[in-house]
Amino acid sequence: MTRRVLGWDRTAALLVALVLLALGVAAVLWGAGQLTRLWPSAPQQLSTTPATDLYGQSWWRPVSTAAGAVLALLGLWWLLAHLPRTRVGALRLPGSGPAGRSSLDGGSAVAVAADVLGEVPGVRSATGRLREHRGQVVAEMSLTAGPHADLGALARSVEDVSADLAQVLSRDDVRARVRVRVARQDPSTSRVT
Amino acid sequence: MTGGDRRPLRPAAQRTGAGPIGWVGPLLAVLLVLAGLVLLRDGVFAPAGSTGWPGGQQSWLTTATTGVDGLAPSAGVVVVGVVAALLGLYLLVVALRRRPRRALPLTGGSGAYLLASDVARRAGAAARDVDGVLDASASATRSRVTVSARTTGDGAGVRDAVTSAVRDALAALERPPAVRVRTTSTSGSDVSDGRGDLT
Repeated sequence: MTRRVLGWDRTAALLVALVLLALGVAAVLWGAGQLTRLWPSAPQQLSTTPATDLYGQSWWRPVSTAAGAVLALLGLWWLLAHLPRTRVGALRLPGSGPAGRSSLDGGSAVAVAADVLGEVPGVRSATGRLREHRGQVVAEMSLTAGPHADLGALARSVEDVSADLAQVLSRDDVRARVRVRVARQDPSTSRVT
Repeated sequence: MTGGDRRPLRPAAQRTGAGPIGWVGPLLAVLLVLAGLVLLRDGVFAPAGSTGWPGGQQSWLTTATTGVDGLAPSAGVVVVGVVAALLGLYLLVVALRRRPRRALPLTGGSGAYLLASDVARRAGAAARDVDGVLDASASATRSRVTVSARTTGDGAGVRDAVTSAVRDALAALERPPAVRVRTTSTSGSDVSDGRGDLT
C-alpha cells in the first residue's frame, strides 16, 4: 500500500467520522427533545417527502445512473489500489548511457546475499528479494537464527553482507531491511543426528 | 571483497504494523462501491414516464427513506444516535492515529531488526542457559522484556544472574528493552522482581 492510498483512507475515514459524529449528536439531541434549543424550528416528526419528491423528478434517473456508475468505479479503483505492487524490474546500473546500458536483476543479487547470510554461524536459513516499499527500492531479507545466536555478531555479519551487496548493486538509492527471526528451539533438540 | 568504500546499504524506513486503518480503508471503499451500485440500480430500473416499476420492484432509496418517515423523538433515536457518535469517535481515532511501530533495530544501522516476539525467544534462551534455572519463558514489548524463571533455589542470586544474562544477550539492540525477571523457586513461591535500566 502506498502512502497516497493510505492518505485517501485516512481522509475518507475522517470525513465519515465527522458525518457520523454530527448525525449521532443531532439524533441524541433530537431524540431527547433538546434540539429546539439550538434550532428553534426543528421538526417534531421526520418527513421524507422531500426525498421522495426528488426521486420522482424527471432528471433523477440519468443523474442517479451516472452518479452510481462513477461512485462504483471510483470505489473499485480505490479498493484495487490497496493491492500491493512490489515488483521491481531490472536495476539500471551507473555508466548506462546512449551508447549502451547495463542493468542488473537486483532480485538475484539479493537472493545470493541472503544465501551468504544463511552460511553465517547461528543462522538456520535466510531468504531475500527486492521489492518496492513506500517509494523506496528495498533489499528485503529475512533470516532465522537459533535461540542462542549472538545478536551482536549477527549484526556485524549483516553489515558485511550488506556492504558486499551495496558494491554489487552499486546504486545509492537501494535500501536494506533484514528481519531477524529467532527460532523456538535449539537444533540439537529438533534435529536427529 | 576488497575496496576502500565498504559501506552497507542504508536502512529502509522502519517496518510498521498496519493498524486498524489497514482494514477500515478497504471497508470504506467497498461501502462506496455498494452505494454506487444502489444508485445505479435505481437509475437503470426506474420507470420512465408512468409505466411503473417492472415486476413489482421498488426503488431501494424510496424503501430506505419511507422506513423512517414519520419518525418521532424517542429513546430508540437516542440510542441510535449514541451508537453513531461512538462509531464516529472510533473512526476519528483510527483516521488520526499513527501506525504502530513494531521493530526493534539492531545496532550498526544495517536495517536489521527483530520483532518483540523474537526478542522474547532470545531472552528466554538466555535465561535457560543460567545455572540454577530449570525452565524459563519470556514475553516482550518494544520497551520491556519480562522473564519468568523457575529456579532450583536462591532466588535473588539466580535472579541477578538471569537479569545480566538477558541484558547481555539483548545488548546488540539499538534500544535494549528494560529487563524484568520473576523467579519462582521449586521450594516455594519466591517471587521477586528485578528491574533493569535502559543501558
